[in-house]
This record gives sequence, structure tokens and C-alpha cells, in this order.
Amino acid sequence: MKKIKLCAQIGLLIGTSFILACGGGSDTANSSNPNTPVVVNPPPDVSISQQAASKFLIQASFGPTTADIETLSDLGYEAWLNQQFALPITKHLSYVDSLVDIGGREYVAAWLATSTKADDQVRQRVAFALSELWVVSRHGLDFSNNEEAARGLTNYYDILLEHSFGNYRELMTAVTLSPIMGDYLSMRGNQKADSSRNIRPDENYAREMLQLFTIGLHELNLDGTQKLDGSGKAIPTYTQDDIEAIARVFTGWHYASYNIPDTDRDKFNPMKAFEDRHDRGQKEFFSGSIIPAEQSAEQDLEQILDIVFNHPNVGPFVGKQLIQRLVTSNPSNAYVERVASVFNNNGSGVRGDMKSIVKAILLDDEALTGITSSDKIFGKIKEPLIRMVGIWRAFNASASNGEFDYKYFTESLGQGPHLAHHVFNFFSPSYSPRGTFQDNNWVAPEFQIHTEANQTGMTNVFQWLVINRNNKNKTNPDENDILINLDNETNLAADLDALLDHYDMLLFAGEMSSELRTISKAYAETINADQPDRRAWEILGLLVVSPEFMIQD
Amino acid sequence: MNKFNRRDFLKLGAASIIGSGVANFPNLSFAQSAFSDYKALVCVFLHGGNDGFNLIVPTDANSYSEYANSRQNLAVESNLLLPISPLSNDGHTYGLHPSAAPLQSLFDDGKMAIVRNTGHLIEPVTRAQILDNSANLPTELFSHNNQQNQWKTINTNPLSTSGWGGRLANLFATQQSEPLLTGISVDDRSLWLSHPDTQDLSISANGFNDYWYVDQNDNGSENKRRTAYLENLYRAHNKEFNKGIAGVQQRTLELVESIGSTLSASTPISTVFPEGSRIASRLKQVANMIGSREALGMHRQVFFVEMGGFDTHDTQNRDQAELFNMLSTSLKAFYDALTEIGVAGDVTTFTASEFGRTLTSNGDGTDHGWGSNHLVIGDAVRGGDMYGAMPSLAIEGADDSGRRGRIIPTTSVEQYVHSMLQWYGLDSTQINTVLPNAGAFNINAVNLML
Repeated sequence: MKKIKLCAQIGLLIGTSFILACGGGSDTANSSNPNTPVVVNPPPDVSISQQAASKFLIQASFGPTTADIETLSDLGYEAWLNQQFALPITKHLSYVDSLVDIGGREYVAAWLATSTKADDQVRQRVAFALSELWVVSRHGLDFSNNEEAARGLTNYYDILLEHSFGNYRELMTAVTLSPIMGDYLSMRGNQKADSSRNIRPDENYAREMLQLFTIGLHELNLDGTQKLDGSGKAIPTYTQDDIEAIARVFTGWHYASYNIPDTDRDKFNPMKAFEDRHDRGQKEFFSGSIIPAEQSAEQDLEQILDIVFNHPNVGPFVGKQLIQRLVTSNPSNAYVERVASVFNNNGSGVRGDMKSIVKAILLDDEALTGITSSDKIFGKIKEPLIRMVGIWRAFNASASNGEFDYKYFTESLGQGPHLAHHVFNFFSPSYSPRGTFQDNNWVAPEFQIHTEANQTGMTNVFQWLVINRNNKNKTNPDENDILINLDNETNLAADLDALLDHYDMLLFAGEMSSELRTISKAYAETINADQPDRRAWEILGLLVVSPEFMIQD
Repeated sequence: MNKFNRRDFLKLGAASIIGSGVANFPNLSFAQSAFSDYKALVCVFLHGGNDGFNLIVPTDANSYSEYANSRQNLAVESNLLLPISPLSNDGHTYGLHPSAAPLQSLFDDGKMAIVRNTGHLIEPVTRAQILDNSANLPTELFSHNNQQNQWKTINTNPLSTSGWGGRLANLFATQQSEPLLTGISVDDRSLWLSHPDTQDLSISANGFNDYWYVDQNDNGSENKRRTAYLENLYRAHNKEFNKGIAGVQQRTLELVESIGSTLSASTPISTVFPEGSRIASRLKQVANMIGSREALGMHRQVFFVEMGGFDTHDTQNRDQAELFNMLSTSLKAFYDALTEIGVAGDVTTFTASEFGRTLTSNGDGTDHGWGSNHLVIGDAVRGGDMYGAMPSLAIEGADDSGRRGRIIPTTSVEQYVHSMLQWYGLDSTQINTVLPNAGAFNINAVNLML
């Protein structure tokens, strides 16, 4: 009954053809029902198993919930993605503006609450991946005015959300002109040379935009591998002279309110061009690209972004890193090539179409089957922040005051919302731990923030989220305690196998090892059966600190 | 020491331990050390590229005028510079940035040396070679992460997976009571300490927390939770990602439970470190570890700490005052703490940074440069003096690599650290292992250790 109702609702949303798909049945056991009406030319059954749905949600969202597993299982991958694409954007700024002052941490609370609760999960997850490419951070921004800075930083994230399903070229303009990025990489205030005072344009944005956000350091093949010159060496994408030329291109921009008394630090609206500060000379770079003299700052900016956007590196460079953030640390060359090809052309002649790129990443056979080329290893370490939000999602966390005012990041998670230490993100996409990974030329980027320095804190915090924060010693929780809800799990605890099945589906995509299951069950059996709530949280406490919960593969 | 409670593991059976990450912590029992003395090197990495040419400034009329002409609105006013008097006379006089008063006293007391214009090189190069494209230059010059990696590896192979601190630690690790404690970074893991054969360690600046939920001292149901936790952690994991995570979890648990109580039982350091500073708390943690060296049975250690914020593209004059103040007070507190512990002559501290900064300004800040001035501190240092050649600070002058005052280093990293490694006890073969490209330079050029 529930399934039919759900399908009907979705049918209203996205068209009648999907009602037929639902009616065709998602469970093979139902397909032989003699009462099923005969449908002429029935559409193919696109429904997927709950296990496949859970696995997909680990890649595409901040973590599976029972409801999302059911919906995705019924709809199948593509219809569910299309439904996600159509959802309105859940912006973080509206959450910030709903909060009473919590001391400049509003941007953190907004990120946690929205990532946990928002319906547009794929957009939220893709924006997070983009935020780890186009990095800005609270560290490195002026927080002397908490409210202004928190709103600005949140608005920056909303820009990423707005363009997550748009076009990469438009994202490039929007971020480049963001006053927060302008502050962070000092394009804001960048001015033409004044040789009498030895002032030259600021190279910061020109360099990092090329190195980190678009093309990288070395020329790439479509499959993400480096092109090599005749002597087997990597080929640099740009020279120091190129950086100095492009730094001149990015001159003239400042806060939109620059020079307006009392409001001259607009950290919200796109930066504006101030032509008297712009270098109007000709710029030459990339061995033959020319930006002609006498153009405006805006013309220069659009032209350089067009040139960079059309550089053949962008598809493989950006595509591979998005794959790494969502699906697997070591994609096969063929997988990167397939995604980069879609970046270059979505099939309708459009370059940089983010919806097509997201689909290409998530619907690729390699992502869905976990089968990769023989020289690679499939899977990745889940980011600690995503694991935490994942627990909150799976068990419907909330605080009685409605806020997600959580602040214990550095010691325990190695990362936090908007809290990278520098523009190189929390970890490097090429980080490879010593041992097997280095020996095989595999990377494990997230491993860089799993250090001996934070493993105790990480273990404590994940158990605390489940055990202490949920029940233990918490008969009267504070209004800002973020509590998970284990009512359903407590009800299931009379049947430990059923409870473990349930946890398995929500946290491990149905692939919990038999060893972990056996150990968990044996431990639960040491707890008196008349304490089903304790059984529920004690098992969960073991599961969330297990190595296999820290991995997706 | 070694209070690690192994009963839990024994209950699980030896088989579940063999093949786990315990191999990374190989020597839980005391080994007889080959050393009776103690020596440590401490690398303080100034992340972002420190502007050493504003930390140490020439003050004689000609040189200051050249500096001020290049630096313009970012020049430190000459009357504000803190004068220092180097033992050797190179024809110039010098002063320190006004926010670096603690360094002035270290220098005056003969506890700190300054090494001029140091940076990463493949071989000595000249401006003329660079301009006619004949110079053999490091790859990806002026890129933060690449230059950090190259500074840390100083290997002509850019894909080197070992840092020179790791190569140094690897020479001594197996002769230590606790090999894992040989190369230690406070907070983030560092490529500088990485080595294929020796596990480096990262520890928190806040010390070692207890495992609240799987504590070995809890009783009753808590211990059953611990048993279950350990059983799952120490069973065989058959996937590489899981093995990696299980390895670092096992290593951390064993470390915390074996030496955590040793450290918390050690005599607290009474030297006051600056409040609210990451670099100060990291250095304090290094001092804590060194203070426990005897209880831990350690004789040779290598430490890495990092201080961020030096990428001063904007508001340099304001930010630099804060950075230099924090750096100076923290380095002085660390030196004082080592003196308190009684090891100021056994521990040598030196600064590092991926590059210096342009002498030209971008309005209110600087861009990525190359050579920079550096500091070496300790009682074993031939302090109160300056080493390495003073470069021309003129834009497009003899030492400018281009047009913006990115100064070509006149001292390589190898030359900078060579005498420190000799002091540490390395013979020439070992030095060649740590500094494989030493032969490209006059390796005895900087001799700053007593």
C-alpha cells in the first residue's frame, strides 16, 4: 500500500509514464501476480533493489534514509536523479537568517542542518564536492564582523548550490566575482601595475584558479593521465609569464560598494569592475592566446574564463576530482574519459553541463558495479563529516531548539564545514599513504585526515553521537543537543537479526561483513533483553566506529 | 612505561594480532638503545611562504635604500628595525622586524643563527642562466604545494615518497625503544617525515585523550563493549582501505594506552607559552614529548610542526606584525622550555618554508617568491651570526629570477641543513642518504653548529 501511494505522488510530480513503471512492480516476487493488469508494451522495469539504492545513496547523497531507499528503489536511478534535479534549491542562507545569533557559527549550523535535512540531497552533495575544489574557508577570511562574514560565507556556498546543476562556465564567473572568493584569494582590490611604486598585479587568483579549480599543472589526456613530451616528461600547462599576464587580466575588481561610505564592504553581491584600476594593455599567454588592448575589465574577465573553460584539461581535471569526491578514489582511466567526454559534450553540443556530468559520474557502470580496471582499487574512505551527517540522516537527528549548533571538529573529524586550513582543501586528491597504496600507485585522499592525532577523538565522537548523546546520562537533554532517534531500532531490538539487517541496509548498503555482524550480535546478547533501547544504541555505537563503516566500495 | 593492557588482545588469540597493524608498532618491550645521549631536530614549517626579507633587513645606508626602493610601501621603516650585531662582518648591518623582539634577544645571546636567502635548488643557478633558459630549475616553481613537497623531499625525483626528515628518522628508528616515536609531527601528517620503511607519527597538540567508550579501566558492561570493539578492530580485514583504517586505529589505541599515562605523569613544563596560538601549542607538545624522553627511552627524535598564514597576498603589513610576533614569542618560549628541561644544547630548531615572497608589492601584499631568510636556534648553534650570501635586493638585479624580485636562493636546502645533520651524528654516507643531491653544491658552505 505504501509503495503505491508513494508512486502516485511521484507520478504527479514527474509524469504518468512513471506510474506505469511503478505498477510494473519493483519486486520480482510480485511480477507474477495474476491480478496485475496487462499493459501493452510495458516500459522496462527500472526499479532497483534496496541494497543497490542504499549503495547509490552513499555516493549521491549525504547518506541513505529508509524513505530515500524506498523512493529510489521504486523509481530507479535515472528517474530518481531527474526528480532530484527538479527539486527547488535548499539554500543555506535562509537557515542562517532564521537563527538567533550563535556567535558567528551560523554558517556551520546552516551547513549541518541543511546537509542533514534538505530534500535536494544530490545538489547538496555535489555542491559540497565543488566546495572542496573551489575552496574558501573561514580560516583566511576576516571574521571581525561575525554576522557579515557568516552570511557572506554561506552565500558563497549558495552560489555553488545554484550552479551545481547548471553549467561549469557560469559557475566559473559566479565564483570568480564572489566577494568571498575575492577576499580569500585576493582578487578583490587587485589593481593595474604602478611601476613608480613597484606595484604589480596580484597573482594569487590567476594561479590558484588555473592550478586548483580548472586545468591543473600538467597537460592531461582525456582519460586524466598526463601527456608526456618526447623525453617522457610532464608538460606544464602554464608558465610564470602566463600567470603574470593573467594576473593583469583580473585587475579592477572590488566590492560592489567600494568607495561608498559606511557600506564599503559588500560581502554579498558580485564584485564590480572599477575601470580606472584595470590594466587595459594587451595580454599574451598560453603560447599564442591574446586578450587585446583597450577592453573593459568585464570583457577581459569573460574572455579569460572562456579560454580557460575551453582548455582540454578541464573535463578530465574536474571530472576526475568529482568522481573522487563522490564515488571512488582511483577511477579507471576509461571512467575518467567517459566523464570527461560528457563534460566536453553532453550529447547536445553543450560543454560543461553539470546535470549530464553528475549523471555520467553516478550512472557509470564502474560506479554502479564497483568493478574497475585491474590496476586500480574501487572505493574510497568516506569523509568524516559525511559519516557524521550520514548518521544524523539515517536516524533522523534533531535538537529541541531546532538548531544544529555543533562545534567539535578539529580534534575529532579533521574537517568541518567551511573550515579547510587553506585553498588546498582538507586533503590532497593525490595523497597516497605509505605501504600498499604507494606501492600500487593508488591514492586515498581522505586518509590524509585520518591520523593518529585524531583517531581517538574520532572514535570517541562517533560513539558519543550514538551512545551518550542519544540516551546515556541524557534523561534531560539540553535544548541544543543534537539527538538521533532510535525508537524504530528499539522496537526492532527484540529480534537482533532484524535489527542488524536494518542497520546493515542503512549504514553498509547491505554489505556488512559476517564478522562484524557476529561480533555485534554477541555483544548485544550480553545486554539484558529487557533493555532493547540499550541494545539498539550499543550495537550502533560499535558499527559507527568500525573500519568498514568508514569505507564506501 | 608500556602500560598497554595486552590481556584484551591475548583473549582474542595471537592469530588475530598477527597481520594486523601491530606490525607498525613493533617493539613494545624495551630494546637496549645504542645511545646514551639525546638529540632532536625540530622543523618549524612556515606554511604559505614566509617573507624572510622583511624579517631580517639590511640597515646600512646602501642596502637599506635598495631594499626600501624595491619594497616601497611594504618596507619596514629603518628606525623601527631592531638592531642586531652579527659576529662576522660582511660589510652590512642588519635589523629584525619590530615584532620579533624575542628573536633579537636569542640572537644577542648567541642562541640563534640566521641563514640568508635559502631555498630549494637542483643546482646553483644564475639570473643569466634563467633568462636564457639554460638553468636546471626545480619544477613547478612558485606553486605552494609543489614547493612544499620539494622542500620536504629535496630529491631530484619529484615523485619521491620519502621526506628527508623521514630518511633521517629511518636511520635511527630501529635503534630506539619505541621506533614509532622517532619521527613525530604535531597535528597534520607531514611528507617531510614520510619513509617507506619507517612509520611516521602524528600526535595531537592537546596530547593523548583517553578512549572514553572503550577505556581499559572501565568495568562491567563497558569492558564487554571494549572486548567487542577490539575483536572487530584486530580481526583480519581483507580490503586495502579497511586495512589502512584499521591500521591507524590500532596504532593510535596502542600508542595512547602505552605512553599516554607516561606523558600525563611527566613533570609539567612551567615555561609560559603564548595563549591562543596553534604554533605555540604545537611547540609546547614537542617540549612535552622531549621532556618525557627518558621515561620513553628515546635518544634520537625528529619533530615537525607547522604554522600557517604566511601567504600574505593581502594586508601584509598588518598580518606580518601578528605572524612575526606569534612566531617569535613561540620560538622563544620553546627555547626557554628546552632550557628548563635541560636539553637546549641537545635540540636544534630550524625554520623552513616553501618559498619567500616577491620584493615587489601587489598593492598591500606580496606574491610567491623563492629564496628567503631562515632561523636556527639552540645552544649547539654557533649563534649570534649570519650565514650564507646576502643577495642583491634590487628588482631585476643580479639575484632576481625575473622582473618581480623573486630572489634566486644563494644557499640550497642541502647547504642549510648539512651542518645540523653532522651535529646530529651522521657520517658522510648517511648524509648522502638523507641529502641525495648534496653533491650538486658546495656542501660545507654553511657551518653553523658548534
